[in-house]
Amino acid sequence: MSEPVHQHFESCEEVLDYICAHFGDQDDSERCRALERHLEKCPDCKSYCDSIDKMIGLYRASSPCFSDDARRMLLESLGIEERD
Amino acid sequence: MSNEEEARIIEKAKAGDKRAIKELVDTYAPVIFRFSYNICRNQDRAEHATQETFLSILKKLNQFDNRSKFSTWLYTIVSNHCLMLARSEKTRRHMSLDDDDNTIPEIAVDHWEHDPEASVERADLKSHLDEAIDKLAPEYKVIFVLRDIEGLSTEEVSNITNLSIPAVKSRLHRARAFLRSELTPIFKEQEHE
Repeated sequence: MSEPVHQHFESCEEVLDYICAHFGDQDDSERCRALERHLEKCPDCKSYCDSIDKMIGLYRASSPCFSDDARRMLLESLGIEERD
Repeated sequence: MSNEEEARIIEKAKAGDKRAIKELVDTYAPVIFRFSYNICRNQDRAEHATQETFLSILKKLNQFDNRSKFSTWLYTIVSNHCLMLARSEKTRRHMSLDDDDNTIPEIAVDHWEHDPEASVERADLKSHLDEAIDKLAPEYKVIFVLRDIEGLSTEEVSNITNLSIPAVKSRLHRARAFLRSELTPIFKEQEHE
């Protein structure tokens, strides 16, 4: 991966470690902004983040909803009627 | 639902109030189903796991003491249930992702130009995703789904799975890297179509 590009991260491995703990978190910390600056300058880390983001999107988009039939059967199994 | 409202409903459900139990079902059954589906990738099994998990929740409801978030408690129960089911399927073989040292290895860099989300309707793409997920050991799947799909914090995942934070991070990284490497050839193919 590329050489370090910002003082908040010594290496791309540190970036990777940070992404592991914080990917998807929305915060306004200096470290988060440093990550954004790093990603602007490091195509490898940016590519990694983008593909993880896309993979998560794909995973989420391919999940079905809990159906009304499944809900009805669950309530029945718990001994609860709709009018309860 | 506010925390106070949720606490009131839980107290009523503990006393056997059917209306309160139904409210818990309507609030949390979709969450439990989604989680179970994302672990087993099979609608019937996920519905069955949701039913079993809810029966277990109602049996154990008196043990819930409000010291953790109710959702965290539910995720702990459903995670354990899904892991138990997966371990009982002894015929299934998963990729070995040894993480004894809890370190995060170097990642392979492959560029995904194609947007997989835009192609989610393609049946072959979903089937490739299901195959990749199926190869991932359940202990890794649980971490990946809790952290990345459900959006829980690393600390919450650590509490739910009873693993250290470094172990959660290591498993998460390995799960992401594995799924990414399994899916990369598919998206490379699509770029050339």
